[in-house]
Amino acid sequence: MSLVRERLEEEIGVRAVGSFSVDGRSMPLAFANSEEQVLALLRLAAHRSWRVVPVGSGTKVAHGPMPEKPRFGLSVRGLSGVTAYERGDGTISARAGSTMAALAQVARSGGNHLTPDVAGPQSATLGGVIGAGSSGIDRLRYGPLRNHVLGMRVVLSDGTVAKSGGRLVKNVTGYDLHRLYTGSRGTLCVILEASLRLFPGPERELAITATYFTRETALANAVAALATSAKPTCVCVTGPTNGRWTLTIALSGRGDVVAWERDELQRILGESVVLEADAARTAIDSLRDRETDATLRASVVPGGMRGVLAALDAQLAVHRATAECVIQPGIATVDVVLRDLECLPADAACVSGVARALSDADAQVELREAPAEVRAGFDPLAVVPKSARALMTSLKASLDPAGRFADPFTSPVRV
Amino acid sequence: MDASVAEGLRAIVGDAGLATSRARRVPYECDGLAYARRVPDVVLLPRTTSETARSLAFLHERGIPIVPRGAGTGLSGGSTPVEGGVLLSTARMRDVIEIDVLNRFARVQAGVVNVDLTHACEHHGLFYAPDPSSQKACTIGGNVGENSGGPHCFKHGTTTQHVVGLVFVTAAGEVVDLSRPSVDPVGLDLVGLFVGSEGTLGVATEITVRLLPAPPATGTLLAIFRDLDHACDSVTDIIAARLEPSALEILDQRTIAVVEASVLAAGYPKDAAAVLLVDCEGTHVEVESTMRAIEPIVKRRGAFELRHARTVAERTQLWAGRKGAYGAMGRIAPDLYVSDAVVPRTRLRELVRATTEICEKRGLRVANVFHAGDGNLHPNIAYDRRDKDELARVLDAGDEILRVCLAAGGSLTGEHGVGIEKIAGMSWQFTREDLAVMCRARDAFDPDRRMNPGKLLPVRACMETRSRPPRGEAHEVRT
Repeated sequence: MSLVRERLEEEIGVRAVGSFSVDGRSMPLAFANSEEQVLALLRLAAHRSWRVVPVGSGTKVAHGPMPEKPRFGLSVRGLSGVTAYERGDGTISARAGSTMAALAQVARSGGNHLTPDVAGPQSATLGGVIGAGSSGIDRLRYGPLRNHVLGMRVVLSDGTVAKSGGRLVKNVTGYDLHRLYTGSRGTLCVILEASLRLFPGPERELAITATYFTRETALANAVAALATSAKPTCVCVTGPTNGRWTLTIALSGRGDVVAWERDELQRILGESVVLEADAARTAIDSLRDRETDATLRASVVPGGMRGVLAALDAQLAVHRATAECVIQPGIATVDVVLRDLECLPADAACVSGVARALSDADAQVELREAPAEVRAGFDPLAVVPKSARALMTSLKASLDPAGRFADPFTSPVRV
Repeated sequence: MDASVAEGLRAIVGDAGLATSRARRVPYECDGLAYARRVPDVVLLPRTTSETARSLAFLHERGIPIVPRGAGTGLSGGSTPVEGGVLLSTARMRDVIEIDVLNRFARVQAGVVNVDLTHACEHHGLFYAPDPSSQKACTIGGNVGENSGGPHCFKHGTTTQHVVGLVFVTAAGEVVDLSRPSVDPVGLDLVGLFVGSEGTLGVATEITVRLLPAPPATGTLLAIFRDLDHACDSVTDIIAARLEPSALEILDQRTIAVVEASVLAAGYPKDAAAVLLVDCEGTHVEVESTMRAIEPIVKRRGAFELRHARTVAERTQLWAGRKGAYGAMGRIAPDLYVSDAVVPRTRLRELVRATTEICEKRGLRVANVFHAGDGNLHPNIAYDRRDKDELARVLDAGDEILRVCLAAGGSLTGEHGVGIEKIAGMSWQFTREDLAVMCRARDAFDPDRRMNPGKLLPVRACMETRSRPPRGEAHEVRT
C-alpha cells in the first residue's frame, strides 16, 4: 500500500479512500464527508507537501491540460444537499457534492429550471461542473454557466474558508471571486458550496428534427433558424450518421410562444419532425450526453465556423480518419468525436494534427478524450498573452502560495 | 506633488492630456457622492492604451497613487481621490474601434459613452444591453469598473455578462490584452474578476462587449397603484409566477410628484401612491403573452389603472420619467444620497417600508425609485451637504438601511459599487477571512495597492494580509 493511501486512510477511514486514474496513472481518491475532513486532508497535504486534485464526479479531470504531479484526488461528493431554495426568488444554494440531477429535481418541483443542463447529471456534481466551467446543452438560451453562479464558499489550500457573492440575483459587492473560481479546474480552491440563479420552468418543451444529405445544408438551415425571432434552447447539427446530417432544435417556454416558434421554424425548415414532451426530452438528453464522447471541442466566433470546419475536413483527409461532429452554430462550438482511437501513434498524430489545425483556424481548442501524449504536448494557453499568463501565475501564487493544488493552467506538465 | 511628475507625464500625453491648474482639477474632486471631496494633485487624460501604460509605468517608479475615472457619474465615491495622487480620466478615449455585426460584438475605448455605443450599432439592428440611468453620460469603462446595471439588466444581466474581452493596464504599467473574444475564458477568468473591481486592479482602456439583436417587439405597461406595498407585492407575484418581463421598475409618490413637476413629466398620475413600469421584449406573441399574464396579477394586487404605450413616443415618454427621476430630484434639494442595497425579491414590501421608516424617523425626505424586479432598492434621500446635521442624519440612515437589508439576507450594493461610501459595510457583509482573500487577489495585480486606494476593501482587512508569510512559503492550516 502506498504511503499516500495509508495516510489518507488514517485520516478519514479505509472506506472513504478509493482510486481514480488520470491518463492511466492511478492514485488514491479521498472522499471527504464533512468540511472538517476537507480541512484535515488539506492539512495533511500541506504537512507532506503533496499536491492535490479537487475532483467532482471525475468525468472531466482528463479534459484540458493535465494537472501537474498530483498525489491524490479530493472529492467532496459526500458534501451534498440543498442549503437554501428560494422558489419565489429563483435561487438555489447547495453543497458542492450535490448532483445536478438532484438540484434540477428540486428546482423543477418549485416550477423553476436549473441551468446548466449538463451531460450525465446523475453523477455530475455542482462543484465539479463549476470547477470545469461546464455550460450545458441549454447555453444558447440561458448563456454560459459563469453568468448564473451568484456566489460561492470555498476553502483555500491553507485552510482559509471564504465566500464571495451571495444568494441574490443582483449583487456587485466585493470582488467576483466566484467568477474567477468558475472554470479554474481546482487550481485555486476546493468549492464547498455555491448558489445558482434559476429560470422559469417551461410550460412546454418540444424538439424539431430535420435530416439532410450534406452538412452544409443542415448548417444553412440552422443559421436560418437562428436568424428568426425564436429563442431555441439549443440548435445542433450532428452527423454524419449513415451519411446524413441531423438538425435538432429544442424549444421551451410558455405554451403559446413555443407553438408560434414551432410554426415559424417548420415554415423555414420544410420537411421536419416535431417531438413533444418525453420524446423531446429524450432527444435533447441524447444530444447533451454526446458531449462526453468528444475527443475535443473547438470554440470560435460564429464568423470563424466555416474556416474551422474546413480545417477539420482537411486534417481528416490527411489522416484518412472519420469523425462525428456535434456542431452548435449559435454558440459557435464544434465537438469532434474521432472514432476508433486506440492511442496508436497514428491516432495521436491525427488528434494532434486536428487540434493544431483548429487552433490555427483561430479556434479555442479543449482536448477531452484525447490520448495522454497529445494532451501533454498541447498548450491551450498558447493564445494567452504573456502578461495575462503572468497575472494568472501571480493569482495562483497569491491564493495557493505553496502550490498545494495541482495546476493545469500555469504550469501544465510536459512529457 | 513634485512638479517634475507633471512634467514627466506631460512628456507622455502632451498638453491636452494633462490638467494641473486648480481650476481644471476642481471638477474632478468628487463623483455623484457629493459630500466626499478632494481635489486630485494632477488630472491625467491619456488618449490611448500606450499613453496610459507609459504614464502608469512612470507613476509606478515614483510610487504615486492612481484613481481611474470614467464620466464621474458614480454614486459611491469610487473616483474620488481620497488619498490624493493622479486622477486618470478616460474622457479622451472615445473611439468606437470596431463593430462586428456578424459576430455581434463591439470593441470600444473605455471613454465611450454608454448610449453612444447603442447609437453606433442600432442601424445594424443591434444594441448594448446594460442601461444605467446615467447612460447618456456614463462610460463603458466606468460601467466595467462598477459592474453597472440598469432597469433592463433584470432580463439581460449586469455589465459582467456582456464584457467578452478587455485591454487593461496594471499599476506597474503592464498592458494585459485579453481582447480576443472567446466563447469561454482561456485559463483563469481574469476578465470576470476585473469587471466590478472598481479600479483597484488596473485601468481598462479597451473593452469588447457583446451586442444583442434588437427585439422585434417591445411592450410597455404602466400599472398605477394607490398603495406602494401593493406595487411591491405585484412584483413579487410576477416573479413567483415565473414570468419574464425585461424590466420591472417602481416609482413612489414623492418621485412621481417630483418628476411630474419637472420638464421630464411623463404623465404619471399625481394622485398615485406608486407606479409600476413593466417592459417586455421579444416576438409579438411573446410580448402579448407575457403582458396578458401580468395584467391580472397587478389588478389583483390593486392596480386601478393600466396604461399600455401604443407608440414608440409613448414608450419613450413613460421611460423618460423613470430615467430622469434622479435629475428631477434636484428640484427639492441640492444633493441626493442614493442608497443601493439589494434584498431578496420575496421581501420587497417589508424592506421598502423599513427603509422609508428609517428615513422618516430622522426627518429626512426620501423618494423611492428602484429596480423592483432585481430587488435592488434605491431610497433616494434629498439633502443639503452644507447642513452638517442633516448630512449626519443622512449617513446614519444610510448605514441603518444597509444593516436592515443585510439582516434580511441582502447585500450592500447592486450596481453602484462600494467605493468609499459603503467601505465600512464590507466588514458587516463579509468575514475577515472573506476580505483577506479579496486582498490576496488584489495583491496579485497591484502589490503596492496604489490603484484607487481607499476604495472597496477596508484598509484593516488588507493590513492583516500583510502580516501573512511571504508568498511561496507554506502556511499553517487554520483549525
